[in-house]
Amino acid sequence: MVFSSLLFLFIFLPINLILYYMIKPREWKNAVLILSSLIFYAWGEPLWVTLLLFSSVVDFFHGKIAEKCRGSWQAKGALISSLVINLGLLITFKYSGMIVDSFNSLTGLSLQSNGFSLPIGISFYTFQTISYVFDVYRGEVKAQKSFFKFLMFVSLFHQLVAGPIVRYKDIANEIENRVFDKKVFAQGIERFIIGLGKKVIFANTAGEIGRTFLEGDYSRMSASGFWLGMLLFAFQIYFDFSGYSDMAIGLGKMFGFTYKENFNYPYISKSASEFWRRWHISLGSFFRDYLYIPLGGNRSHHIRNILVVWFLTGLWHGASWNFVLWGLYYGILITIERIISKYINFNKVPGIFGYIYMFIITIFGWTLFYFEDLSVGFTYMKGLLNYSFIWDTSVEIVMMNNIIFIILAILCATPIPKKLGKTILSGMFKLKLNGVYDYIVYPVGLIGIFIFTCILLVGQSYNPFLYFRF
Amino acid sequence: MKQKMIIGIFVITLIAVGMLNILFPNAATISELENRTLATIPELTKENFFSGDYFSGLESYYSDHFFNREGFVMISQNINEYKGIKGGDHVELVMMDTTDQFVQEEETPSGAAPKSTITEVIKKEIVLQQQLKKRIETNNDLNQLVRNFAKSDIEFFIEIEPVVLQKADNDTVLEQMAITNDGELSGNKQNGILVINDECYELFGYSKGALNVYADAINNFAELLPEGDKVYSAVVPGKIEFVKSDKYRNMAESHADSINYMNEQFNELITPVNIYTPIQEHSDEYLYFRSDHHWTALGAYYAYTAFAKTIGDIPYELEDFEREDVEGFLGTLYNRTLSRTVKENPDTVQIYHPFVENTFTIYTANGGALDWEVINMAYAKISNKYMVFISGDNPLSVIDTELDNGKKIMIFKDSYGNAFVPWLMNHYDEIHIIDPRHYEKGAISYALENDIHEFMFFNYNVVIAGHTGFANNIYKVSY
Repeated sequence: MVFSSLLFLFIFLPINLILYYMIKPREWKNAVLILSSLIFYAWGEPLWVTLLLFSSVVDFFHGKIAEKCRGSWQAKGALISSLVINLGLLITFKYSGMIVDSFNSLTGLSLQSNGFSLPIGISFYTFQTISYVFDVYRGEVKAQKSFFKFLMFVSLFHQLVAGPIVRYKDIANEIENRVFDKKVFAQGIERFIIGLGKKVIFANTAGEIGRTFLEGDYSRMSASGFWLGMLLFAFQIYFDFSGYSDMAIGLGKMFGFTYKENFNYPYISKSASEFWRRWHISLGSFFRDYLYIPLGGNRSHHIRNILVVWFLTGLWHGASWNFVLWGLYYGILITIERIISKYINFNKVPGIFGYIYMFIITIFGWTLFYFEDLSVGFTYMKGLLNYSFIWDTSVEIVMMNNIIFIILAILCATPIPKKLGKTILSGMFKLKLNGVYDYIVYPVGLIGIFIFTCILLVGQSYNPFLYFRF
Repeated sequence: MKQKMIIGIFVITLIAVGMLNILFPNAATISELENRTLATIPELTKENFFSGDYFSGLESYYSDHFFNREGFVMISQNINEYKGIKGGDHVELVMMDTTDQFVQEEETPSGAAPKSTITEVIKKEIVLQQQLKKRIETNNDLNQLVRNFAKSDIEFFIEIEPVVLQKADNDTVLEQMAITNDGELSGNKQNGILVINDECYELFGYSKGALNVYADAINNFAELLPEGDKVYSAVVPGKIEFVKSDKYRNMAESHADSINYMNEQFNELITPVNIYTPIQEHSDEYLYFRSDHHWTALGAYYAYTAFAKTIGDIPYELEDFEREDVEGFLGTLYNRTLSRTVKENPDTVQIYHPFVENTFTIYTANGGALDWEVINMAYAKISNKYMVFISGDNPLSVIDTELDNGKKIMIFKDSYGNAFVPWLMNHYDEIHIIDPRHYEKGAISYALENDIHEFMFFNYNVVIAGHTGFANNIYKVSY
């Protein structure tokens, strides 16, 4: 199931909320949460929900051993065993096809891969359980004593399928003693609606418009078509991914959990390093804390560590070499930025240069990311650089047809709407209109956005079936 | 307090909408607007349970039967109008889904599935009517029930109401030609719809490879025929070719270039019919629908004048025919774009009634035959009004006119041929119409048996210039 499905919104969510709050004992609340999470997951992966359970059982015991035998070889063994099992699952289910294909093309053999389809969310929950065993091993958190509480942590449907990567230690306290606060619940609703809006209003629309160019006939497209197509993909992936994170954080608040932020307006970055501090923060910090620093960070084998981290960051996004290249692309850019920063103080460079630089590298970055077939990706890049054919009528029409949407999307990818909201709020406070705001403007606006989003969601189910060549 | 209110409103909204969906779901089984059956509750099996298809089926069911669904679809379409501006020409560009393209030619299970299900629903309706003892008594009653896909529907009507005249029997099976399929040549390269004011245009791009395959298929067909047989080829250009403004016309590749290139690939056995020129000369007239991807009977008339001249006949005048207009036609291009300007000005289907006495028989894939009418006005009442012309695409249909000149022609056509065929009735004794996408037998042996020596390939350029599916179907029946 996904959050932006009507069935989730109007059946799963209300039933889930009612049961969760009607049942008082905490153990039962946990049971409701576990059960609904497993249903949520099994809805999309009725078979591979077994993997999730397996991963939970195994790492529950790894954690226990790591704590009990802290400092001894057994603890280390538990950690290594956890890594081997989790990464083994990932390799088997996510990367075996890629490995076999690459092996075949290097050796000329034609081995068959196992043909498993990628279980939903496996990249997220394996990383979450790894972080748990790691943290217990390092003594940063106590091992969970109850298997069911641990299962609840692994299976929490809020962030199970699309992140953020939640570390056990960050919610360990809430697993034991959640406080239910109306204020937090209301914040959660706001956050969820914003996330849903990002997904439905912006990501889906950008995806639909972008197809004109991304799936167009490249031999007849002008350079601006290539740029516009990838710009729309940039919107799509940002609003989609950050919208999901918002919804996860919002749901977490509704159920009494606090998840860390995963995005912080990445498109206002002025450098690649800043971009990665703002984009998919939970992944970047995972690799930093569990890979880069254990490898020696910038103290030993610095270049090797950077290459390894960015190779794997890229690879994490998908089982295809273009993702690896995409990761390395950012790794190299960040390294170059670091070297240059020794000679130039970026703070003194006017911001506009940073934005232009980031716009260009982001468009090329997403091109690498978008096309799993690298040769198509490079054809697309040639199109981006085609200075002899800059503009064509279809770009003009699509720009015109969607100009308001595009401007809104740009605005909403920045903190401007938030600031604007605060200004209006303080203005109303000054005019002593807090009551009007609290009881009319805010609730009407919020539920209005929600209903608006749901109407669009129904509209997006419009799927004319046309035998065009009939 | 204020938080409590937010929580209350939110939770109540969720529950209220959830209840509305249970109490007042969208009860329709077919969406005419979308030309498809709405999802049904999937059957629970071991396979679809473990593959997850069962659950995704439930989700489709839920969203397809959402409370006031079509109302919300139209609201969200209105919201979409605010995404930008249309400019002075009121221009829009709408992408088609890849599934819209050529589904019919590719015999993929995914493409076929919705088609059979729409019939399923009609079957259920009919069975229900039968249970109510409302007997279907005449052809017209049958026609009332005919929906968008004539082939399978008619098949079913024959099952329940046998009006079998004779069995089409062509078991003389010759060696079937090897199908040359270049897998690379797929899809119209340009698959968007351009809307200018209230008129939709299909963008167009051609591939020389696909044109070669089509020309080869016809060359091959002609070579298999007895010496002296005549083979004509006519290709209908798309409407975008005749847009006045260079700016918009240049968004598509040239139909003229594409058609000329193909004509050069034909061997000496083939006579190309130049229908491009008369269409171009009359392009100010109502030759193509504004909301549908087909052309009008008038467009087909000008093609007919060119063809009549090619065969040395004098074409009849338009005034010789009685004209009937059916208003309020919104076709496939409207369904895809849902453009407001198009909706405000629907098309009119102009019908020129043939005056030659005739019998019209549709032979179906299972060997049944149905006594029908060339112009079937029952279709004027359904949404796909273009079906009035020879009842859409059937495997084989035969018009037997009262003319006694002994002239017989076999026409291989896509849906563009449907409006064209009736014009030939004043010139031929027998017209045998084959849609090679649906015909499953040998056309050459059929022609030999029926003593046919004139053949015509009549297609829409968009169908053949970007895809080899139709050409492969010609090979399929070339024996």
